[in-house]
Amino acid sequence: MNPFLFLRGEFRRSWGGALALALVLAFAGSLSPAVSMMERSIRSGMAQSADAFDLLIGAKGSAVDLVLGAVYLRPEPLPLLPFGTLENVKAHGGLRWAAPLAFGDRWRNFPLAGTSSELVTLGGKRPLASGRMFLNSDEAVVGAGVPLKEGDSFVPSHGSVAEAALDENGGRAHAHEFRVVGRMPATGTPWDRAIVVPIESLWSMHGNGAGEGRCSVVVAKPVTVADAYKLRAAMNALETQAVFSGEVLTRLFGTLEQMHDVMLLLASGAQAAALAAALVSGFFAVAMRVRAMALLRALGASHGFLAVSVWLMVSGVMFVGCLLGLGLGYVMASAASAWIQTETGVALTVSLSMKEVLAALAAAGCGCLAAFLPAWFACRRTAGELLRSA
Amino acid sequence: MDNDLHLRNIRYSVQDGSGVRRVLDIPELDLPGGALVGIYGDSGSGKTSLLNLLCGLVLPDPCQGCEIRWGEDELTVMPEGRRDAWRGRHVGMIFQDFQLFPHLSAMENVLLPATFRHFSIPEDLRDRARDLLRRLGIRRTEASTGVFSRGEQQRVAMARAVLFRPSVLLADEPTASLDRSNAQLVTDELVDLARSEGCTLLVVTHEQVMHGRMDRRFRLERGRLLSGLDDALKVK
Repeated sequence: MNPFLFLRGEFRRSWGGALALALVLAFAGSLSPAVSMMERSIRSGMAQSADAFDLLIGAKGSAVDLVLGAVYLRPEPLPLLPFGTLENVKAHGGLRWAAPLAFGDRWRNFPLAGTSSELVTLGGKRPLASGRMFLNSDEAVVGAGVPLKEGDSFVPSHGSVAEAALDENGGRAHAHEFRVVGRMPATGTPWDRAIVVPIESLWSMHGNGAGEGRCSVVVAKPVTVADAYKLRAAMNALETQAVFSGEVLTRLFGTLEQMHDVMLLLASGAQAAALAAALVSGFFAVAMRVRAMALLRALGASHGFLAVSVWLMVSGVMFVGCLLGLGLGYVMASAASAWIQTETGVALTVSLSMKEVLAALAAAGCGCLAAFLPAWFACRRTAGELLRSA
Repeated sequence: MDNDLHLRNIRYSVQDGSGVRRVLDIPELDLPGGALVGIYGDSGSGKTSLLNLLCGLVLPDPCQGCEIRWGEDELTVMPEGRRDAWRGRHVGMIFQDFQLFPHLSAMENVLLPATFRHFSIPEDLRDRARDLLRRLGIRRTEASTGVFSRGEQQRVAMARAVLFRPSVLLADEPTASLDRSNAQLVTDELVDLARSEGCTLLVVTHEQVMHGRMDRRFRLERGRLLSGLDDALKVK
């Protein structure tokens, strides 16, 4: 037997309904893979961004704010460290390098970070992509995503990027002018959007003396794991805290995972509801085709021919819907990642894993199994019953 | 092959709003194979039910000695699956409202019954479908039948009915929804087809022209078969 000729006619007759149903299934089925792919790409992008920031020392307060501010350049209100913290850290020993970090100003939507050359070159391990390191207080090195060329000059404005968004006048400009002398290599991290200047220039720009010599964060690169733990223990004191960025991220990922699980549950519920709706539509499709089925029986079609036809009709829509959902999920996750990348600078790579493919195939498999119900409903009726219903 | 029809003790009832209603009651009927037979009767007299019984779509009420036999094939004892297969092989059906699939082409409609038993339709069947359509005057074999005139649609349905060279051709009011000239054309072609293919033709019709072309004719009245214009038909 070959039910495809009959199915071709039925598809030509009601392709709009079949397509609409497949699209509903695709949309419902896209949420789950999109959530999974996003969670994975955010996790990996965030972890990658924190690679250079082994140990962060900040003033007592939220460890999460410290990591978000230093690693992801989020405009968190980080309090200043006490005088001499950087020197204390350096004096502790067991360090490859340590660098101060301070924030607060911006050029357009690009945050200014005041630090030393150690953080820019990761202690000499990461050369600049072009140009040279800043040598005096009116020179700057820019991230790969900053639209300034070497030789360009710019005047930063007061306030963080977030504060500027609230300021209708676009903020007040500093009197201090910087010249770009170098460009950092692309890292796929928020630091690609950063303009890095000597920390001394930030102090002089805000030359009221209050913050001079102080920074918000000290970024430290210990030599060994043991050194790292020793330094962390030493710096976790009355006024300061030392955190491993990886440890804080693990806590954040825990929360992310819980959100992911909840969203996955909701998405799976939506997909199950859509599959159930498609199944009900399958029964309606059978009910609407009683006349056609009676005719097929009159022309000599067997119960099996009707069952296979209905099964293919219903399971085909479900299968196509579920696979389209996987593709749509990938497109949605890619679009969301691109948006997040634009907003944060964190490079997110969306990839389809076997987990999503298997989940989509499992949903399609459930749909194909469920399609046996309308198929059975169609073929259990005798020709006489069909004729009476037609 | 002997293709005589023998009916014995046939009663057929249906359940409707007022309870069980006897639709047909035929104690005995014999027809020789290859006969062209016209059936007429008032609405509700059981004509369509008789055709459904004759092709095994429905079974008579169970009773001692009931029999619907075409040659050696006894339908009342066949399981439904075998009756389906028998019907597909031996019976061609033509309906008042054509019952084509309007989104399939004329060729696809004619070949549809072939898909019940073949995955890939043999070339000789395709040739036969093409020849039948040509013989019945259908030129647009690849066009959807939804755009055909009613006369053309009925001729496509006739080609579909005789594709497998059935020994029995059952037609239920085949000309009732056609205009006079198309009805005449379809009548001529149906009779010619039945003669040339050697089928037994049973036609439910009220058309005098059609009855005039039949070998035998009889009337159904409230489920009982009465001799019609031709007393040679053996009816009790």
